[in-house]
Amino acid sequence: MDYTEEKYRPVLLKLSKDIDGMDYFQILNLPISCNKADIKRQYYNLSRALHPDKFFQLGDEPLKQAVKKIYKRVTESYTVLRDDKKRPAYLKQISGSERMQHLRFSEQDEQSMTQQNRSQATVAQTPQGQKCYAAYLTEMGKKNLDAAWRHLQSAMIFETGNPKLLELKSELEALRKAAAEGEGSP
Amino acid sequence: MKPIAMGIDLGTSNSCVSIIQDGRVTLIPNEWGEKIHASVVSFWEDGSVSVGNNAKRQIITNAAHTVYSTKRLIGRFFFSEEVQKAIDLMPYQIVEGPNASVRVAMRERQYSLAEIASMILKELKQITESYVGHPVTKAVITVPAFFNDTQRQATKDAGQIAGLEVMRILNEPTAAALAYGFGQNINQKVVIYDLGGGTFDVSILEIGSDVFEVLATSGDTFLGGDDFDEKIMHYMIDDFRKKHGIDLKNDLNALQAIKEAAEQAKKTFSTENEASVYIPSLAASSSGRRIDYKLKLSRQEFNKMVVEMLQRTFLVCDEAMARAQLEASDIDGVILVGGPTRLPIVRNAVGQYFQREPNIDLDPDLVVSMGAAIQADALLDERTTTFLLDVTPQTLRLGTVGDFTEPIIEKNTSIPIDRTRTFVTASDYQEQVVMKIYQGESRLASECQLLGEFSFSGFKQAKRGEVSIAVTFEIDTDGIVNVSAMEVETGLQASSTIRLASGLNQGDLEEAKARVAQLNMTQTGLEPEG
Repeated sequence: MDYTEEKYRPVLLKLSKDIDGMDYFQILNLPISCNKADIKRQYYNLSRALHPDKFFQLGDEPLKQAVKKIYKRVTESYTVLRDDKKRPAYLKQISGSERMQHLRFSEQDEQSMTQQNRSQATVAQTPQGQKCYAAYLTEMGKKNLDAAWRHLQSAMIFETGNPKLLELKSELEALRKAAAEGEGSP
Repeated sequence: MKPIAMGIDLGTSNSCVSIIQDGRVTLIPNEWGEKIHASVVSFWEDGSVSVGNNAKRQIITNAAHTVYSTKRLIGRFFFSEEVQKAIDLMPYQIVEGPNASVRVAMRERQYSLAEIASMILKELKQITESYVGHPVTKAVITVPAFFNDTQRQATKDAGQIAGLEVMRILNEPTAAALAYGFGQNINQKVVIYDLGGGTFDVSILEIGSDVFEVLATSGDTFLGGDDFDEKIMHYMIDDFRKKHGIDLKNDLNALQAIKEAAEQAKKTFSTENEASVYIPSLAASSSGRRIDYKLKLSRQEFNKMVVEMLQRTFLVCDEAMARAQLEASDIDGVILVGGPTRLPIVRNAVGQYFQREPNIDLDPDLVVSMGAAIQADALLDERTTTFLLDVTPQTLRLGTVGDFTEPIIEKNTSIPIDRTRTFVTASDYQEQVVMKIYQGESRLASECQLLGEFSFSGFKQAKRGEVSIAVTFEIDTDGIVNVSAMEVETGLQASSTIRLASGLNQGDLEEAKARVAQLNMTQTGLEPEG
């Protein structure tokens, strides 16, 4: 099948939208039980059919964009499913109740990192403050509330009166209190 | 008539250009029949320049105004180690430009490295045009596989300044594999060992009849044949001081002569067991007497000088083989690329490492440009049946807090690919999101290469945490990074993607393009294009 033919244009444009609702197995059109050889074979087949180089000479920009999007998702599917660690993690993600949020793979630790990114470098304003703040985030990630508390305190030495740090401090105080109470109860 | 596109190997020391004509790869000679063109530009007092082998002959007579090996500097920051080293070593003047970029100062003008590279590209374009007899503008340009985004972008900029339509930035080892496997209908796992003038790359590919998949690549952009020359140079400088008590380190003319002799000696060792060096009147004694320099250097002595650098290349090979999950016994073929691989010590060591004799059918100086021409031709052909599946050589990273980064796209990931990450505004009525992007293998930003700073704005103003922005990081088929942002709720593309790096903006590019178009390129035997 030559997808550069005009008759496939609507098919490709539609696929470039539908692909957002497909998991990697669906994208590669393979069963969940597929092996590595299947994955590679299908990646090659889809490359032959849909590699953007095949569409390089066409002047049809919307079609080229659609093909590029589809093909990038094919590469992503191949990258994750061929990986011995990522594949089982991904399978677990898409089998859960939040399947639709996990159609595109993300590492577990990255998800917690994204939480950190919420406040990026905009919280602390000085280099020393940022260092302490980074240490605070690391400890928060490990749920070491006391260590996190110490780093936050240090950050505030460099940035007295920073309202965001104050806010975080009161949040953390509440957390520590709750934790202490939790320990005390039977 | 079928259109023609050039395959250009823009090397540290030498460049080549090939085209496909009637289904066959043709390496294009200049009017003197030379197929290898020195990557050298010489600037003259009257404002004209000479490029290529003519310019190389001027390195001694016009030393301060002749630039070479600039590929080692392209896409780097002025403060980087490599640039600082070049300032000490090079007879031409290297200065700092805007945003810590690197410029060379030539006869009261400053040139970006992309502009220097564009002059070499323009020369190759003219050589091609005079060979085929009509204008040619489309090209595929190769770069070391380990080149980062900034270096690739600068190379692409060079093409644009030269008036080329750069269809693809292609990895050199991948190009070599294409030249090796094209039309062979084989099924092999091959290693490309590419030791160039200034860079070392190794790539491992699986080659089928139509699909060429890069399984892993690794490299060192600080290691090449130039370093071999440098070892011999230092040996000669030491030797001269021992024999005559004179330190040549600050004598630019003497250093230039020694550099030339060192390069010549290295080339001699490709075929001979001994190299004789004779430089008449190299320096003057304290009494004013001119001293000639004579040295006989054995291949064994030379091998001792370079063995440590060779070992470094094999550490890089170890890494690539591990990534590809292959043993030496799985490899079906070893292809050598780059002039320094002609040295017997290199061939033997590579043969030993991979437990097989390297392929000797392909010319290590020409194979990259030939592969580039094949890829250029494939891109012109809608019915192409040649597909390159390449990877990104270095991990793409996002700066977080302090000096930390987190990986976005790992090295050796197949391309093209993208990742989207969602960010939430951190302060009330935040107007912009700024992020720094890096490439490298360290968690610490200071140990990675900064690619640029991106700033997004034009999204809804609201309380902190209420605006979600999806940022997409893409690595395209050129290995170039693109970053875009979209407001999740509205789907509107965030505006003003600003890019701060050592690169050139559109205005700089247009200006440089106009300058280079007017440039009088002399002694090429060709008239500048009308």
